[in-house]
Amino acid sequence: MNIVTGIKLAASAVVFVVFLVLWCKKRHDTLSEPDPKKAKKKRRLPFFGMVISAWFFVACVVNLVTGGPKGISLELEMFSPRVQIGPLSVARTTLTAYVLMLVIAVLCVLFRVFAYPRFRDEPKGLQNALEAAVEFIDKFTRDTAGDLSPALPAYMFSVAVMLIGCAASELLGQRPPTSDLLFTFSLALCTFFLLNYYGVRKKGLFGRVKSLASPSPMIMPMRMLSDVAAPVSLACRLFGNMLGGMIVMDLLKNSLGGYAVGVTTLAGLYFNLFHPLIQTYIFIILSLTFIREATE
Amino acid sequence: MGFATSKAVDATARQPEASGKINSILLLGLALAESTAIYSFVIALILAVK
Repeated sequence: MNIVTGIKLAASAVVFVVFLVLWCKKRHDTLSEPDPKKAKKKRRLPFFGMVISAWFFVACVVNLVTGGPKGISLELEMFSPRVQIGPLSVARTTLTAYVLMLVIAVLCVLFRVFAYPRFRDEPKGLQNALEAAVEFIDKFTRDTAGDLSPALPAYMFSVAVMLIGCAASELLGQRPPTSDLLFTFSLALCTFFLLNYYGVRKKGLFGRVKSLASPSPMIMPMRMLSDVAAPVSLACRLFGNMLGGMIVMDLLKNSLGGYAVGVTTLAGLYFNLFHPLIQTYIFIILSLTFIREATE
Repeated sequence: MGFATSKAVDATARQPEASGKINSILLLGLALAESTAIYSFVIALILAVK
C-alpha cells in the first residue's frame, strides 16, 4: 500500500463521514417539514455525495485487494489473467463473478430481513420501484414467450440483475465477468437447456422432433443446426459487445493518461451504463424469442 | 440499420399507440443486424490473440 492509495482511502472516508453528518443534520432539520417531497429534495445533495464517496472508497479497497489496474501499457487479452488459489487456477473474472454473486445474495438477504417486513399495501419509494420492475418483467415474459411457468420471469430477472452487476463491477476497476467467453457461454447454455426443456414439456419428445422436421424431414438437419447455433450466437454477441466496450474504455483511459477525468466519465455513461443495459435487454428478449420458437 | 430505423419511425408515426411493440421489434432487428459485425470482431480477436 503506497502513500497515494492511503491518501485516496483517507480522503474518501473523510468525505463520506462529512456527507453522512450533513445528511443526518438535514434529516433532523427537515423532520418537522410538512411536505415529505420537499424534505427529500433538501436531503438530495448530501445523499448523492455520500453514495459517490462510498463508491470511491469501495473501489479503492477493491483495487487494493486485487492489485488494481496495471500501469499505462495496454495489453489486449482474450482471456483474463489467472490466479492460483490452493490447487486451483481460477480466472480473475470467475472470481469476480463469484464475489458478485455473494454480494447480490447478501443484499437479497438484507432486503428480505430489513425492507420486506416494512412493505405496505400502498407502495412507496423502494417498494414502488421493485413492484414496477417485477411487474414489467412478468408481463414482458408473458408477452414474448407465452404463459409457460412462473419460474421463467424469475430466472430472467436474476439474469438481468447479474448482467447489470457485471457492468457495475467494471466501474469498480475490475474486468467485468461478461468479458469472459466462458461466462457468457454458460448463460447461453442455460437458455439452450430452457428452450429444449420447455419445448419437450409443452409438446412431448415426439412432438418436439416432429416440429423440427416440420415442412419436410429433409430440412431437419438445418433446423437442428439453427437450434445449436442459438446459444453460440447469444454467447458471442454478449461477449463481443462487452469486450468491445471494455477495450474502448481502456483505450480512452490509456491514451488520456492522468488527464482522463471528464472525457472517460462521459464515454462511460454510454459504454458502462447504457450499453450493458441494452445488451441485457437484447439477451433476454432473444432468449425468450428462442424459447417461444421452440414451444410454438 | 438506417433503413430499419426509418421504417420504425414511419410505423410509429402511423400508429403511435403501437410504439412499444415496434420498439422491441426494432431493437431485436438491430441486434441481429449488428451480430455479423460482432462475430467478425470476435473471430479477429481469436486470430489476433491466440
